[in-house]
Amino acid sequence: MRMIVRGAKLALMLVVCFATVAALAQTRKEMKFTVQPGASLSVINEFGPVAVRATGGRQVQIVAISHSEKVEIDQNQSGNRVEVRTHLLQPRLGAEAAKVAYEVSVPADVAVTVRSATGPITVERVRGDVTTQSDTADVDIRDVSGAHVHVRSMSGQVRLANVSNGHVEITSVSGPVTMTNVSGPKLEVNTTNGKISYTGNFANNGEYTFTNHNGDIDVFVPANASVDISARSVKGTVENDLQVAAPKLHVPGFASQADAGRAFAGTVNNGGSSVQIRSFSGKIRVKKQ
Amino acid sequence: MKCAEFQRALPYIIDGGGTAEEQEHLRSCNICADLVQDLRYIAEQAKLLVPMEDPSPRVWNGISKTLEREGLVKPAPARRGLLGPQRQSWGFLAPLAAVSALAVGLYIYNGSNRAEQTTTAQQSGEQPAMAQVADDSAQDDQQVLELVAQHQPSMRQTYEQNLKSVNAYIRDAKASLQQNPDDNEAKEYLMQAYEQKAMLYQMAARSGE
Repeated sequence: MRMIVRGAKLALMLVVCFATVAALAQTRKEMKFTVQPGASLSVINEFGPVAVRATGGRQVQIVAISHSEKVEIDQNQSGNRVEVRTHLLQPRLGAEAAKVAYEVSVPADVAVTVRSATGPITVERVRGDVTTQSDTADVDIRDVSGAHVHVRSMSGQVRLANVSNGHVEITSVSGPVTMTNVSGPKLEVNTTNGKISYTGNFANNGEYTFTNHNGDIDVFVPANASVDISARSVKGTVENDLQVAAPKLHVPGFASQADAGRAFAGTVNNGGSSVQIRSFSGKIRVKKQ
Repeated sequence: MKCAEFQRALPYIIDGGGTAEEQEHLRSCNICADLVQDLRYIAEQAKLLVPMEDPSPRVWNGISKTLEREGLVKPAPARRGLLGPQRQSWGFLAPLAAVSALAVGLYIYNGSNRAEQTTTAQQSGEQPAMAQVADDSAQDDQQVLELVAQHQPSMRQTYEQNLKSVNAYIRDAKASLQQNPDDNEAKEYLMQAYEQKAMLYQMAARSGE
């Protein structure tokens, strides 16, 4: 028994030693930039997470933590334009060695651009425009209002929640796109085979367009939504739970395809927002929330 | 010079401009050389389609001043390019310009929006050229994958899978458009498919930065 306890103590001491060494190998860099209203921030970090949150005050504050001496953090401020970039000192550095974690605090009105291959990317509570570009990084954007949101992704998961009163444009090749309470004058989502999922009321008398090649498109709509909706899948199927009246405008070709279960079009309540759902060969499901 | 830098100056290069460095890159890079060749062809054909009317210089100056004030572009010497005289260097528009130019070429190819003055002889001459564009696409994909493999080897397989998906999208959209040349949704699908591909190419080009 005494041998077991001694062994456990020795193992614990070794773990603490290794953790200390690992912590010492990290490099922490803090940066602060004072900006005026209308500022823009660009963060380019190919490997590693980037988390952006809005705070008070007029300073952009950035903490970058790297784990290798083979990367450095470049920074530049030209008036109201701030750019921070991870710079690899050695070509073809592996993802783990090149990884830098960014924690960013910005005034709410700063326009934010983030580019990361692996991410993840998180943006919360801002009121300035948000632009993200990612390869496999998951993208999470939440609590954004009055701003344009542009997301370009290859295969990462894209999640938007509580985004309102702005133009939203999402392009993803194979990553799924999930939207909860997203509304505004314009929302456009295009994927190749990424699944598109929307839960919300299509508010603001906006234009909503979901298009893909062969992924599923699932839409969950409350009974009080006011939409002029049309859905069509060229070679897939369309399911609809909504009670719809005749559409406001003639939609060519829909009558013949409706019987084949590949299309429907109609108006719910006053038809305030225009909703167009198109898939080439995917399955479209429109359900009551 | 890297491909991403070169492609930012595409609108100026297509019209025969470009710096010595850009011309040298054009001579040495097959991907960019093929892209410029295709865009020059499509730009020439697009001029025949409808009369092009540029907005007044006052409009462009207003837009460029706003972008400079917001720090999105730096002031650059005025050069004549595809988008008209005295344009600023808007690198982020280069891929969009490429996709839009390709889309114009596709409208010509499907025959649904030809101008009345287009002759039969021109039509028969255009189709083999567009078929050549399609054949070259596989070679371009391979070169893009090699570029990714050079700079981000771990991403090569992911790019390859996504290129296959997008190419399948393009094939299906083209087939649909050929069956229904007047279907606006079919045209929209093809435009979306090419935009997806342009996005992948741009991401791959940036992987080397």
